[in-house]
Amino acid sequence: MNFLKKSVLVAGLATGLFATTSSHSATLDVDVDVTIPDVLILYAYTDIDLDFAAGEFAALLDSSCTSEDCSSAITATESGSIASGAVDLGISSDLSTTGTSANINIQNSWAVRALGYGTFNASVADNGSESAVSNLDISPASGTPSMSATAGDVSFDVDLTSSDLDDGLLEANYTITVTGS
Amino acid sequence: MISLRKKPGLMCSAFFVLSAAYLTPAEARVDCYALDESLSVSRNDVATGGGGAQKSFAIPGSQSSLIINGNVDLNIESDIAGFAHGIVTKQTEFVWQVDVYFEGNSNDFITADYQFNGLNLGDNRICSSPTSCIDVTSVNRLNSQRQVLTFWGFRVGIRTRESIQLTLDLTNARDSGVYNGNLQVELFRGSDPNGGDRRNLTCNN
Repeated sequence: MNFLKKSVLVAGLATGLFATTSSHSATLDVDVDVTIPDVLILYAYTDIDLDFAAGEFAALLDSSCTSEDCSSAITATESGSIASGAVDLGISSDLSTTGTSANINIQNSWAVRALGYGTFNASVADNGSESAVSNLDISPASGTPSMSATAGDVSFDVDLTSSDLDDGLLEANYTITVTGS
Repeated sequence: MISLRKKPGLMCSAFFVLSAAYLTPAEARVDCYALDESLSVSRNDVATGGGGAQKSFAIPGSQSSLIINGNVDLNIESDIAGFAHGIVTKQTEFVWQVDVYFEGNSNDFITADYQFNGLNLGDNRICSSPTSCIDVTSVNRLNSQRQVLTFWGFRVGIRTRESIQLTLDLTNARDSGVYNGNLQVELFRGSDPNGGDRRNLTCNN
């Protein structure tokens, strides 16, 4: 008897609670919200060893050179007057193609990725380079960042006449700063 | 004394009259619910090292290269791939629930297909604006839970709920903040937990 009472009451209450309504196809729409943080990340190499390719350094001194030991003929006729058995042709003034500085461009040496920033600004500052290094520059100096990496270059000039080059090694130290806004 | 003996009998008669009205079998019913979800992507999810909003990451190791015509290309993008996290995997709580009542000994399983409906911005996308979207590269079942529903100790139905795992590609995301997506869930009945014969399911609510 108790069992019957319980069953009847359960059935009755359940029917009352879950009254049938109209039906529809079983497709649900779920709102999914994803919150993304603002973040800006600068990536950079901190130890870069560079060598001039064969003939590269000589070419900086004279564009006609393609090897480190090269000869460069000055083809214009040179004339002079011998005085006391000697003549001074003053070749230095004819070495117009000789370079005294070289620009080194280290491409794709830093990169920035960002979320939530419309613009980034990049700068580079010298941080103890040898005196032969000057005119540090960074490119691009600004841009629109994204989660895809935006890569950039750092360039500087090298004074080829500097005694810093006497030991065959030139050291450039710089600091890259990128800020987002 | 006579009246005292009759009272229990009258009460029993009344009870059976009332009971008869409720003895019709309860109708089968299926209630389906969407359970909205909020996920957060952390800075640790998208960058090695975590920390503040603006940070630097030194790529370890020495880079050696040759200068040609005054230029040297270090191709940093190929090295960043090892540290950058444009692909993020997130797990949800239960995103849908189906309660099936009064189907007797039916042992159907409820399964679902998923599709992000990006409206006019394209499918499988979660966007904060027309120019900033997260691409949903995969939606996978994570945890499907079946639970017997009881009422006063009696089985009255089965509740099924499921959570999912999303793989999000943030490559095309630009904005921070909240991205809104619409996950369309299509529900099926089936003979086994993997979908089985995948019959159409009809919801009553």
